[in-house]
Amino acid sequence: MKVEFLLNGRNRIFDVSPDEYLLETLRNHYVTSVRNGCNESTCGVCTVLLDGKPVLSCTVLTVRIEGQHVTTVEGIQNEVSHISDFFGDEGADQCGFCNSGLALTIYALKNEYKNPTEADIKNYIVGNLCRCSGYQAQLKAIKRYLEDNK
Amino acid sequence: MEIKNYHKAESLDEAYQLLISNPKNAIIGGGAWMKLSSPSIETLIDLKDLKLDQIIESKSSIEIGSMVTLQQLETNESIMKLGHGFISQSLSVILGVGFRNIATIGGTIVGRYAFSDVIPALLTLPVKLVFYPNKEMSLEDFLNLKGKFNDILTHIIIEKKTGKGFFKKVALTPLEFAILNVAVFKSENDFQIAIGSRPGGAVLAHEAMAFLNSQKEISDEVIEKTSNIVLDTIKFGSNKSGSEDYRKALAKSYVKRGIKEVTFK
Repeated sequence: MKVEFLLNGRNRIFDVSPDEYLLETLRNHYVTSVRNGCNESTCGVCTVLLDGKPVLSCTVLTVRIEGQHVTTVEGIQNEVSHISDFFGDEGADQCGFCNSGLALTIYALKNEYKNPTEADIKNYIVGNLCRCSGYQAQLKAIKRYLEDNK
Repeated sequence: MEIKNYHKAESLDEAYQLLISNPKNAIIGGGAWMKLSSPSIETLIDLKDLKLDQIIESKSSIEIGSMVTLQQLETNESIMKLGHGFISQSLSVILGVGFRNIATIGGTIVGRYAFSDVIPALLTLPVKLVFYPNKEMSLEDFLNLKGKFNDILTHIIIEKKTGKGFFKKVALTPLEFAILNVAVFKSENDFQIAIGSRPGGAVLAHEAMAFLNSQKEISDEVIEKTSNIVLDTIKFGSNKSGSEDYRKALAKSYVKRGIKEVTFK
């Protein structure tokens, strides 16, 4: 089936089977910043933005997103660079495998909440697992990024 | 999982006719749990263009389209006000936001998932389900149905009730299925108590509610007896997440805590 959607602002047409997930479609076309982690809707490393909202690409069938906007880190490079600065400062980066999914989630959080509390932040990022950092440094970095963007 | 064809329905009737034309056809809600069921589907029928993603509040009720996502529901102002936010709380503990932006309330209810966090909370409220072509029933009646049910869930209607709710999910980590869910709601007239992830599906604790609602005063003794009736009349079991005894200990503790919280705090 042919499916047409906007990928990082560019119109793209993909030929997919009805049971192909967005994660497969993107990675099969070399959008490898979208990581393949658990592939069962849990770890969050495959997060992309669908019409601005974070979704797990391993759980979205590609045929369902006709006409929608998909954003990966390549589509918000300046924002990701900004987020990365805070992560670097706080020592929140280690292996980096979870970073692209987490950066997209943080970006969506910033757009959705004006003044998120610590509980709001934790609730929003709970689905983005990191196996290296222990989350404290990440939390500090996220707070600083959000403060800087007020 | 194999899906041979995909069809975006243009009307409910078209979706229904296609659904009943082949037992291997299926409706997709959010599709969030589809990987768990690994079915072979002939034609997957999508309702996403049928405007079932609205939440409409009236004076007496909240009408929720079946394609409303769990995140939409959690953050909706009318839902956040219900029972001091316990429905929103039950939604907020379902995996992460990336998942809740996909999963729909219709898919959650039709799936009748035993591990569901939101179903026990909804059970404590007057919730009516509306199906196409022409059927309505309470959430509890739907959960008790046996066998295949082909009608299409279009709306969930919550009758507004003033009161306070309590919800508790017990799980090893935030991203794991509940070992036990407890929901308690106290309206002006009565208490409702629901238990989920027993590990069986969510049920109302009718006998315990009848006892509690017949009392003139809510004392520690009454609360203790209510929790004992819950344990005596509801079936608990064991699985890899927790034993029957552990679930019973949790249920006793959280039923008591829930009643106290909605009564005295």
